[in-house]
Amino acid sequence: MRREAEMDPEAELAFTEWAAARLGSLVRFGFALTQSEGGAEGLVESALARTFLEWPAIAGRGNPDHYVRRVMVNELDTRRRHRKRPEVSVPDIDLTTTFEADEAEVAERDRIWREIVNVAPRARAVLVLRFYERRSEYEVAQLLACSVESVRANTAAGIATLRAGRLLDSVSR
Amino acid sequence: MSTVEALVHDAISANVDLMSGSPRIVERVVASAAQVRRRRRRVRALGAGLAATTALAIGLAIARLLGWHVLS
Repeated sequence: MRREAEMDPEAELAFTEWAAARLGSLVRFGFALTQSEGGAEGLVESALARTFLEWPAIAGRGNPDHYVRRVMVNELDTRRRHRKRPEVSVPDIDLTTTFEADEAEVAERDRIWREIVNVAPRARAVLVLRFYERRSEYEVAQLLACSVESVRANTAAGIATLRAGRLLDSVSR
Repeated sequence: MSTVEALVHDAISANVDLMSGSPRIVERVVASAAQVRRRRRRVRALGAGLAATTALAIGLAIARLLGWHVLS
């Protein structure tokens, strides 16, 4: 039987500080994956809870940021398999951040944002990690515990879904 | 950066960048994890107690079979 490591107050404090410092980026990652504020916070909360229970071992291995993101992606994947699809509520575009862009650009961004939710969870995570967080293929492979080839395949699959959405859009118009 | 990469980045960035998350998430995680840990500890203690009792009962049964009257 695997016994969880007992956590001393110092380790608990280290976890709390680490989690508080990473919370923003984790929620942004979660929101990019789920497109729902509640979904993102739920994903982050359950991933952090798992991380906390194993914290001494995870912190000892050196990269808790990778671990917690991997848990989030796996959780998203599991939810999809169990058909508990994350609640999708696409918010309106915040025009204050895009007022300089022309209409076509805004429409294209909006279309891509709406289309991202149709990309399979793992490919979606790869797109977010590669293009939003700007991580290298190697880093994404490390983070998701898969090969660089798998990252490339998921990137291609994600882009293909986005392109298919665009084709469907143009056909339906 | 390629066009697709830039488009995807901008699309996500425009919708996501202002998110920060409630600091209460961390408090909830620590509180609920403490509960989970207490529950696990209780289950482990019960399991250990049950295992010890079972081992003792088996030991006594074997002793009896061998003709050792441990408790009499």
